Amino acid sequence: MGIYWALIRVFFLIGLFGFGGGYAIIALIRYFVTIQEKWLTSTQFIDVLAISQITPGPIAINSATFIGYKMAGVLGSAIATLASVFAPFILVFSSSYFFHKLNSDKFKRVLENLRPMTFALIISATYSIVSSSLLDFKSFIIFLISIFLSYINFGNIPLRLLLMAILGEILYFLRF
Amino acid sequence: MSYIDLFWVFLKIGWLTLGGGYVMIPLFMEEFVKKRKWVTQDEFLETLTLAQLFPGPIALNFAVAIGYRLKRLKGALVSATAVILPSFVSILVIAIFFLRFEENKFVQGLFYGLRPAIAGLMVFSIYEILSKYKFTYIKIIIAILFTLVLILFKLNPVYIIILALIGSILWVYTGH
Repeated sequence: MGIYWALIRVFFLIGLFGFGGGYAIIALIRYFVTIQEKWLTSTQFIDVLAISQITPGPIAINSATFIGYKMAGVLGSAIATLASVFAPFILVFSSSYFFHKLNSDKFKRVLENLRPMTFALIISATYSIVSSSLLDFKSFIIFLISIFLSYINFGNIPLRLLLMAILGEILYFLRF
Repeated sequence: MSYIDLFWVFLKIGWLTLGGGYVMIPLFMEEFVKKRKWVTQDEFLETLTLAQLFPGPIALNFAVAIGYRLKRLKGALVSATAVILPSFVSILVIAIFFLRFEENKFVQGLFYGLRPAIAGLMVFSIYEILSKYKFTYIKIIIAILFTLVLILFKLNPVYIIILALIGSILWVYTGH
């Protein structure tokens, strides 16, 4: 029973505090699942991120589904996924219900001010992911190519990742 | 418009959007405003703004807000379910396979490439944010402070988020 409650608690909080969109949420998920609960190692967490970037759906929901399954099977997966969407659902739903004219101007300014915080979250997540994924010279090469492909805006993210996976496969078996 | 239509549109968009995020907004607009004329352009933008004001994945929030607008509670539930389903199913299938073959050399090879690629994507996102937004000095200092606290003290990001939220709300509502 305990694991279900832990999944609910963790993914409810991730849903509730998932401000800033995109990569900002990674620091939050990483803290809960690798440092606090130790459900995944740092490397496994990056693997979940990678899977999440080549499949449909947002990182918060994807990681809930994946980790829920890993820790407690299909039921755990469903419970964690529902927990991750519960807070956003309630917030958006009740604001649609109660406020016919939301003062979105002030709200937007509040969010605008959160940008340094979300930026800090992204930098800290990047720091930890870089330090646990660049282990040797070959992975450093892949890292640089990945940045370069993003810089020239090559294809889209899933395509770039697919290429890097193929390159990784080649370099993994190649010894130098 | 029936619940099945609503379900179908969100399911379709849910499948199409690899990696999630803002790429799905133009697709939503195409379907809801141009093709099906369920909402006007203005209503669409108003709903989108509402969806952006809250924590949580933008696609989910948008599905809840537009579902509510069209069909109240049942609409919100139907569209939220449809937008989550593709990511839930695909991650569940991958999780079942991945966890079984995690130690496999071939799988390890793929992720050997994917891990540094993810690190590269994140580093590039920092570059993008820096080139897109003009941070004031005070915001740069706040971002650096938060980053240091997160990295050096391994603090739960929830505390940083709450602190930033309170600070921002006070700042905006005291007339700044």
